[in-house]
Parts: sequence; structure tokens; C-alpha cells
Amino acid sequence: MGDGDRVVGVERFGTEPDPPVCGVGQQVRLPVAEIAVVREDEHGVGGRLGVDDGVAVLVELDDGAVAGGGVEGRLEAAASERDAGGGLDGLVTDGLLAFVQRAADERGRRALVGVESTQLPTLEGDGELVGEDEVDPNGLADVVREEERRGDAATEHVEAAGAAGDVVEREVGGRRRVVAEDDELAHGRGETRSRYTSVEVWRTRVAPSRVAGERRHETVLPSASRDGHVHPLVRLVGVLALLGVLGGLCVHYDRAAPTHTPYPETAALATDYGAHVGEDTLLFGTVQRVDAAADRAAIRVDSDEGAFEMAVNGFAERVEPGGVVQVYGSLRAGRTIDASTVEVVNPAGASKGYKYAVSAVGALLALASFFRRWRVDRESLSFEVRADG
Amino acid sequence: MADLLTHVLAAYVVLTVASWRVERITPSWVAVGMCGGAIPDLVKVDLVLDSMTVEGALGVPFTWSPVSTLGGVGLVAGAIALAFGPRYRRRAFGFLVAGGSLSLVVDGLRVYADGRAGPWLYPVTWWRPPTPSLYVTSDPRVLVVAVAVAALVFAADRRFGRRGTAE
Repeated sequence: MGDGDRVVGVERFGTEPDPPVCGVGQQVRLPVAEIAVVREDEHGVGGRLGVDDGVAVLVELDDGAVAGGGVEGRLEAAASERDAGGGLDGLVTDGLLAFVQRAADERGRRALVGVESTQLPTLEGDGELVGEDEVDPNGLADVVREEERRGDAATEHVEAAGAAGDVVEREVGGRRRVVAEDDELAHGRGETRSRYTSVEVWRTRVAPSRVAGERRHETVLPSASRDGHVHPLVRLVGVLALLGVLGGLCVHYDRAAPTHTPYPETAALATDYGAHVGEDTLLFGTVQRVDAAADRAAIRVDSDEGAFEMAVNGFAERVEPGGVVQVYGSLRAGRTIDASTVEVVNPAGASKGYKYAVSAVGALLALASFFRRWRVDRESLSFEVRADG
Repeated sequence: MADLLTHVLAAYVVLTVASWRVERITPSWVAVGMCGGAIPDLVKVDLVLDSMTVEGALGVPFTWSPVSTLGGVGLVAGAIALAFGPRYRRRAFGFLVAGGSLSLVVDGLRVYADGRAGPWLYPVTWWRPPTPSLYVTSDPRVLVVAVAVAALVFAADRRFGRRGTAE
């Protein structure tokens, strides 16, 4: 987000038709997934930054909801002049229309942004913000009562970077509509780009700051039941259950594998080699000695019944002792295998070190990438998208 | 298996390229997919906790091998997905499984002396898919190719990616 951006935090409403409302002071989280980024649109509406008396803005829902799909709109001179469709044809993505108003209301506040789906009825309030989400087929509208909070109503989730001196107070309200996948969201406007199945509506309000230079944001949201929070302990039980099933697979696999492989088990070769002479098999072994002149080698094969040594005929590969090979061939008497194919997995013992070192880099890369975008939310003990991710 | 770095880079490459066309694949989710790519490598827990040790402790046959199969990826992905906030859980699971499965496919291309990869589709099937025997993990060329392709995609994403201009 750039310096000129303002951020409005919004959260999705739950599936309940009438979700409970939390009070001021209740913990509130504002995942980036549903943060709208409002900025002056460099491209403008219709290519013009100034539209009538307004200024073109770009509303983006970061991640999650519309996933980077921007919604363009404009700042209008007054709320009464709202014209959701005005000047926006062909510019609005995903069937959403946006408009923004800047007129002061009776309390001297200014609406930050309103976004409106053309399919929804006009919403009262200072402004509306429409997000989308595909997850929930339950489309009942719900409205959340507004709460106000002044002073040090800080939440760490949102930084407003808009007009200087704005402290944010706002109403959050919402409605949800579900439209069928093939419904035309913006009927009558020829806007058919929507690929989402439901629409959420939010109202936000921004108020001028009392504390100069400080901008804060407070969101008042329905309580946790709204987003399906599960107690961390319950989730822990879920994790253990899944890992338990995995443990079951680990046992089952070891037990059942021998009946599903065409080759004799290495454990069987260790204990009763003679019974398998003449059979084809695939062995993984660590090279002990190589007799290059005779194309022979000795490998050590690990098994559940302990390691044993096998002589390999037809071993033409150049492998250092300590290297790892695959040998496919026929078992001969005297723990000897006539190799038809030898593949070198590790040409030397040091290859393992190389693999582990590179893999460690890979693990660090994955973790670094992850935590650059995600953070651990201490309150819910879960991963949430970083605000600056 | 291919090394962990190759797995992570493969997930990065595939998901980033896909994100150019699919709007919902954002960098946050590419990162989740990259972590998913590491899941099959958890089979290396064997180095820390030998399966024979576990077997001795439990008194039943035991092997870590299923971790590097479809079933293992699904279960581990499910466990990790539970650590995500509720709104992300389902998608996190999807991206973790996608990354993990991609790693299994990449692993399925490596060399087997008998021309058949391991039964990585377990527990769906014990069938061992044929492998083109493209590489062995210790071959540095594998990593060189992976890093080169990832670097190209990274540069292209910076230049042409959806967010390249927005950030």
C-alpha cells in the first residue's frame, strides 16, 4: 500500500441470519483478507482522475475476498449526488460498482468509501463497501449495530493513511446476497465479469480526528461465532486425530506393503535368502567396495531384520564407497544379484550432505515466504494474513 | 526424492505462473503452497526418529513412508490447515495439498532402476506409476534448473505480474 492509501477494515459476516453483536472493547481482528484499500486511482475513472466534482479512487480488497480485483469508483461531491453507475460503465470489475462520497454528514463525519453492488438495494448510512466471498451459500442479510469509540481505541490491525487527522469511527453493517454463479450481477449494465457467487456489503464511516496526527480504527463486529472460531484445544484435538490417522497409515503401510510389491521383502532376504533365489528384485544399497575391473561391487542392504551384504554382478558404475545405488536384477545363490540395471542415487557419501544442506535452504525459504505473508494471531492462536502481506 | 528446495521452488513456479491467470492465487497462497511442497519431505523425520525405533516402542510394524504419499500429504495438510484462521482453513488445505501433490509428482519422475516410481498414490492405490527416470536427487543440475526457472518466474512476476505495478 502506498502512502496515500487509506485502509478500511471489514470483516465478513457469519452465516447466521442474525449474528450476535459484540460490544466495544471486545477483541477484534481485521485480517487483510477483507481489508479494502482505497487510493486515488492513477488511471482514474474513464481515464480521468477528476470526475465531475470528485476524485477517482480505486478500491481493492486485498487478498481473500476479491483477491486483488479492484473496484473503481469516484469521490463524489455529496452523498445526495450518488450515482452508483455514473461514469463507471466498463470500468468496474467483477460486477461491482463502487462509489465514494466525501460529503460531511450531519455529525461532521466524512464517509470514507462506499461500494455498492448494482444488484443490491441502496443502503442507508454513510457509505457502503462491498466485498465478495465465494464460500458461503447462505445469503441472508444481517446488520450489525454500530458502536463508537474515541480516544485511544487502538487496534493494531489497521493503519489509516488517509487524509491527515482522520480518526476512524465507524459503523459496520452488512448485508449479504447470494447470486447464482451465472446470474448477471450488474444487470442492465452489460457487466458480466463476475465469477463469484455471493456478495457482502459493508458500511463504514470515517470521522475527523480529535487527536491530531493520530489515526485509529475501530471495528465493531459480531462476536466470534460469526466466523466459526473453534477453541484452540478443539483444533489441537483435531490435529492429533489427523496425525493419529497418519500413524495408522504408517502401520498399515508397513504391514501391507509386502503383499503389494512384486519383490521379496528385504527382511525376508536377510532371514531366508535361499527361498528367493531366482526371483527379480529391486534393492537399495550403500556401496561398500567396487571392483571396477570385474564390474562387481558389494553393497549393504538395510532391512527390518538388520543389514546384510550383497554382491552385485554387472556393476559398471563409478561410485565411491558410501554412495547409494539402486540395483534391479535377479537373485543368485550366495547373496549375489545379477544386475540388469544399476542406478546411482548418491555417487558418494558426501552427496547426502549436499542434499541435506540444500533441503535446509528449501525449508528456510518456505518458512520465510510463509511468515512474510502470514502471522500468528495470538488471540485465536491461528495463522492470519499479515496486514502488510 | 528431489531435495526440499526443488520441491519448494516447483510449487513457487507452478503457483506463481497460475496466479497470472487465476486471480485468487495471491502471494499469500503461493507461500502456503510452497510450504505444502515441503510436506512429503517430512518423511525424513526418519533421520531423527528412526522407524525401527518407533516399531520397537510400539510393537507393531511401522514406516514413515506414507508421509510421502497422497494420504500422508492430505493428513498433514489437514493438520496444518487447522492452524489457520477459520476463513482460510479450507483454502489453506487446498493449497497445501496442491503443493504437496506437486512434490509427489516431481518425485515420481525420478530414477527407479525398475522403471516404476514408488506407490505414492497410497492409500488410494498401491499401483506404482511408471517413471521417466528423469533425474536423481543428488544431481546438482536438478537444482540448477529449478533455481533458474524460479528466478525467471520471479523476474517475470515482478515485471508482468498482477501485483507488480500495484506494489
